Formats: sequence, structure tokens, C-alpha cells
Amino acid sequence: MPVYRLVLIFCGVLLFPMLVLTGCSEEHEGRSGFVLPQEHLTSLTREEQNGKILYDYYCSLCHGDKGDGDGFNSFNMSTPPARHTNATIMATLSDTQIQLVIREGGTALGRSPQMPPWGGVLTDKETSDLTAFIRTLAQQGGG
Amino acid sequence: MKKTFVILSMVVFLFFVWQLWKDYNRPYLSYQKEFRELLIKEGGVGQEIADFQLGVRQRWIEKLNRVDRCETCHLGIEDPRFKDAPQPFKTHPDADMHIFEKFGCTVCHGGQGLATSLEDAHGPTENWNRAIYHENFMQNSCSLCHGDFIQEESPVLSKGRKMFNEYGCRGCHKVKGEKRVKVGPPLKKMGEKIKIDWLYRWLKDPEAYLPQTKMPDFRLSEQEAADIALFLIPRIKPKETVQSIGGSYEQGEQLFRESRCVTCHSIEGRGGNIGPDLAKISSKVNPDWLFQWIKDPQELFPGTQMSIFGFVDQDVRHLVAFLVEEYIDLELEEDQVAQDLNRAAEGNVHRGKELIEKYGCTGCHEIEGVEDPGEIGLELTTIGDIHISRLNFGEINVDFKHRTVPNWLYNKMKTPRLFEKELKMPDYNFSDMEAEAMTTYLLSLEFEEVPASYVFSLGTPPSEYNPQGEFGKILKKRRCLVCHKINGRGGELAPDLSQEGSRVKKEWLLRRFMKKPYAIRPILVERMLKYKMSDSEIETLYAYFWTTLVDDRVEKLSGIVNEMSLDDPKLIHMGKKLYYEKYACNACHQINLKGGTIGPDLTDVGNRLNTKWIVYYLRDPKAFVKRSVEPVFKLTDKEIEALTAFMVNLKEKE
Repeated sequence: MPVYRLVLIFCGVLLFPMLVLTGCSEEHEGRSGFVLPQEHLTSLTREEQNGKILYDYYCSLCHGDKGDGDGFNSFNMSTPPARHTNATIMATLSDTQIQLVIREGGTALGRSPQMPPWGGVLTDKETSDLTAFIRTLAQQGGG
Repeated sequence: MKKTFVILSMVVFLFFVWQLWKDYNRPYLSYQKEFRELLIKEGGVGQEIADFQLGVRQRWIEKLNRVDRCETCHLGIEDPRFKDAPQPFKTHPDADMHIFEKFGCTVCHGGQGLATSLEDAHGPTENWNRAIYHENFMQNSCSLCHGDFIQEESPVLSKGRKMFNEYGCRGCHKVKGEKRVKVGPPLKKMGEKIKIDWLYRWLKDPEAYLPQTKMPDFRLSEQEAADIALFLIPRIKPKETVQSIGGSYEQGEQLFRESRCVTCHSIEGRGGNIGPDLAKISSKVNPDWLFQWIKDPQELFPGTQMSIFGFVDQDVRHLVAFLVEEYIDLELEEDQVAQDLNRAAEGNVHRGKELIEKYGCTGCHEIEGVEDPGEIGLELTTIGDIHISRLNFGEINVDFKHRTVPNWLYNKMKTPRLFEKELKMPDYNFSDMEAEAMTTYLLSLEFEEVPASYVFSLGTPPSEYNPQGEFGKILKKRRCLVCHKINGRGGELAPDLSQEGSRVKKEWLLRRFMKKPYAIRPILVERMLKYKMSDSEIETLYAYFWTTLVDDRVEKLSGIVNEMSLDDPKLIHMGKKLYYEKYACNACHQINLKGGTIGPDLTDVGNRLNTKWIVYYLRDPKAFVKRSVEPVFKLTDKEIEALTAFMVNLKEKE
């Protein structure tokens, strides 16, 4: 019986103030409600962010939203689109080569003409931004 | 005495030295020394390091009447070598477009240009409240030079501007230069339209019925909701009087599909977002009213986006029968309806009117029996310039360094009655991003103007295109410009028709498309609505299309097209090879269900497009549709001829 009483007292002494404290802090938070604008967290640089906008608009239809080569149009093609998440293959390509394929199409590196040339659409700056973004796709742990 | 004097003078001297030292040892010096180290590490040339002097750096931007000393610490902003350096030395990402020499810093970033310590420059301080803008609100400054129509370059700002208009903020808040438009439907003959138990629930919590609604939550008490509901519908119909309208469910369903109502309306979130969701429509409206509405929505609500389809009365009855039977609120219990009906009946009509006047419902709705007092909210024309002392933080304790105009506005957008419980402004349930966009737009409403040499307008002002006469009538009746764009005015959902007369063949539009509209792009969900058009309407359309919606750059290609030998089998074969092999057009375009689904289907292109349009498009795909996902191939004249020959012979057999 004394043990039971001790436990009760222990609970009373320890838990009651804790409850009161949590109650207080919650009430304080709720009462204020004033919030500060949060920074939009992104690991991408400004160039890469710009590249992502272009990628979503022009590339993702075939290469997929995340660069897995599974865009909705990829299933209609005889040669599957490149997987930009494949780090092994992406490592064999230099930035110059990636930019060349973007500008002049797949045939520039002896690949499928189903990758069309975007040189007449994208500026050099846009092409390099896009390349910078494509590089990030393989780093995100794809494979 | 002498001793005291010596000690005192020593103290005064030390104090004097201390003050001198304090004046010399400014906080920016440590940044400058750090930068010099960095310069040496970056491999700065010897002369460059020798020339590097400690001291305040400032630029006087005379035309903007600004003196900015930001460069005293932000030493690397114009030097690309410091791209990855830590702040405050980092290269400015926009240095080539916005030259520091011409613009300075504070005109875009805010902050106190003359200050040389971090706290004073970034603010806020006691006498300088304009702290530098948080990155999320930065775009508010773009409109200062780039005008009111800047769009792509400042997406957050233009989103805020769009929201300001769409949510009807202008109804209660005056902004000079913005037209006041009532964005909600007129509240007339509500007893015929709406079921009062629905209205009672709606007023209490609009998002419970329609999660995507623009109607804000006024946080009305049950009594207040009942008062307003009873004012709007003073005579409550007993439930039994609602009769069947006499149509067939099956035929209605077929009409509903054929007319493609889901292009604009959604059913439980699936479908278009131009009109309201219809999934629970029968819990809201009376069948008789629905009949009137489908027959002529524009008579009941002149500002509606809904078109007059031209159904005969019996077809409308079928549609109503289908809608009323199919789209019921499954979660709504009979008891609930009866209970809400009783509660609404307990309202006070007089008090309802007072509440409508108090909350300014007339800012968005035209209401029978209530006079519109005009804007009841604060004028916002120069809200971006407002002094912090004029903003009420109520009883909320906010740290001095967070007490800024942008932070206040941001919180106001998120929780409009945060600072004072008795305020009238309703809650729009904005997300963080939406509140940021709104704040950014509000901050852009400033008194400040820049000299003419700084004005560099971006974006295009809204088009004034408004055709009159018979064609204008059709355009209004069918609400073509809700989806289509003509000469810069209209929606983005459907193709731009500005050059339609040059683009498509008359026979195709007349015999095929308008009779039975189909999607030209295989992946699109949106479909052209099916109208019951009279012959005279179709004639008017054609007359207008082929005299006005044409482009001479296309028309003058006739000569070149006539000289092409488009029936030559060799040329067609060459075109086919180019299409499938060299340019792999089939990666994006389909012929007979084979090929990609990004571009338009080309199975019937020979019947659909004018030959000269094909040539025009192949020559410069970006000439008309600038943002299309279409690569630009450098085609030779011969290749264009071959591809054209191949395409004009692609015709679907009837």
C-alpha cells in the first residue's frame, strides 16, 4: 500500500506541473498565431531552378518528371528516352556532349533522331541551365 | 583637489580615445578585411590587392534619388569570381541585367541604403521601417520599372495580381486604376434558385460544400447564418412542393456526355475548373431554376462564364432530370435537412439585412433589396508605402525586428482577423504560397514612381478586342473566349483562333468539326463543347473567320504552293522518309494511332489544314504559337516541299 501511495504522490508531484506547463505553452502558441514567411527550401542553384522550369516544360513529356525516362510519351517511341537518373551512364557524358545533344538532337552523337534538336528554341544560357539541372537528377540517388 | 583634477582629466581623455576608436573601428571594417583575405585566396592580382582600400563605398543614383552604401560590405556583387563565396560577398545573380551603377540596391531590395551596419541597413530600425524584403516578397519591386503587366518574369507577383481580381478583393478595397467587378453571382429570386437549408450550411462553411470555392468564410455564428439565409429566402417552401420536371434520366445522361459539360464542371474534383463542381448539385438548387439556368444562364447572371447551348426545352428537362437524380449529396441525412430548415426559419430577416450590410456582401454580389454602399474596406492604392505605426498589431506581441509591413500583410492574408477579433474581413483560407503572392502584390502598390528612362515595360496589356455585330453576339452567347483566344483576348484552354481562317479548311470545320467536335491532340482531356448551331450562325462564323481571322504572311504563300508538285509520288516518298527517319516526327505526332501523343494527330491533316499553312508552319513553327513544344528544324525548301506533299496526302477515309 505505501508503494502505491508513493507512486501516486510521485505522479502528482512530477506529472501535474508537466501537464500545466505543456498546457501553458500550447495556449501561448495558439494565442499568438503570428507567423513569419518561411524560406522555400531548395537545394538547387538559381541556374538549376531555371533549368528545372525548362525541363518540366520541354523534356519531362518523354524523359519523365524525375528524369527516369518514363514520361507519358516515352511509351510511344521505338527507342526509349535516356534515363537522366542513371548515374553510371550520365557520368560518361561531358557537359559539352549533353549540350550538343540538346542543341542538335540525338543524331549529333549517333543516337536516335527521336530526340529532336532544341537549338532553335533554347538560348545558349537556357541550354547550360538545363544541363546543370539534368546533372542534379543523377545525384538525387537514382540509378 | 589637484589629484581629482588629474584623475578626471585622465578619465575624459580615455573617454575621448575610446570614442575615437569607436568611430574608427566600424563594424564593416572586419568584413572588408575578411574580403581582402578572400581576394588573395581567389588569386587577385597584386595591383588589385594593393588598390583595395578600407572605407565606406557608396553610389549615388541621382535619378532615383538614392544613396546606397550596401557595397561597403557586399563587396563581391559585381565580381563573378565570388559566385560561391559566403555572404555578404556573394556575386549578385542578376548583375548583368540589373547593373548596380544604374539601379543601386535599395530600389529593389528595400532596406536603408545610407546605413553601414548590418542591423541598420537590413532593418527595421526605430526610424527606418522599410527593412529589406524577404526573398518570398522580392518580386513586388519588379512592377516599379516593368509595369503592371509583367508576367513570366515575376510569377509570384502576377499570381498575386490575378488572385486579387479573382477573389473579388476590389469589391471592398479601392485600388486606383483597377475596375470594380462583382465576382459573385447576383442574389436575386433566391427562393426560386436555392434550397434554404443548403444556404444555411453554405453560409456557415462554404468550403464544406465546395472545397475549391472562392467564397470566403465569414466565420458566421449559427444565428447569423440563419439571419442572412432568411433574409435572402424569406418564404420557405415546404419540401413537398418540389415536383419532378418530367425528363428522362437516360437521355439526360447522354446529353450531359455529348455536350461535354465536364470540360468546365468537375464531378467530385474530376473535370474542368471553370464552373462549380456538380457532384452535390441537387442538394443546392431547385429543378425549376436549373431548367431556367441551363436554358439561358446569361439572363440570370450576365457575368457568367457559361454559354447558351441552344437546347430545346425537352432536352433541358432531360438534363435536369439526370442532374437532380444523379448528383445528390450522399452524406446529407434527411434529419440534417429538416434540422437546418428549422434553424434557418428561426432567423431574423431584419438582422439578416444588417449583417449583409455590415460584412459588405454587396462587394461581390448584387443583392435584391440591399443598396451597395461601395467599398467598405481600406483603400489599398498605396498600401505598400503604409507606415508601420498605422498598422494595428492588436494584443499580439511581435518582436521589434519582425514588426514590418510585409510581415503584417502576410499574417493578415493568412488569418484576416488575427489582430482584432471584431474585424469584418473574411477568411479565404489561403495557403502559405497564396498568402505570399497576395502580400507581394499588395507591396507592389506603391506611390513611388521611377523616371521615364527607367521604365521598361514587360508583358502585354490586356487586349481590347471586342467584335461587334453578329459575330460579336455569337462570341458572347457561346462564351468562346472563355477557352479560346482571339487577337490577344481570351482563355488558354483551347487553341488561339486569331489565324484560324488561314489555318484550317472550310469543309473540315463545317462538315466535321463543328458537327461533331473531337480532340485534335490525343492526350487532351478538354473537349470542344457541342453546340446546336443554326445555319445562319455557322455562316456568320465562316464569313468572319475567312475574312478577318487570316494572316497575310500565310495567304501570300499561295504562289509558292501552286508551284509545288504535291502529287508527285517520289516527293511523297521522300517526305515520308523525312517524317519517319530523318526527323522522327512520329516521336510526337500520331498517324493512324501510331506515334507519340505530344503534338496534334496528323491522320487527317490533309483534310484539316490549308496547304499554305503547312508550309508556313514548317518554315517557322514559332511564328504563330511561340511557346509550343515544337523543335525548330532547319529544313531546306526541298524538304519543306516533300514534307508538305506527304502531309497533304494524309487523309482519313470516310
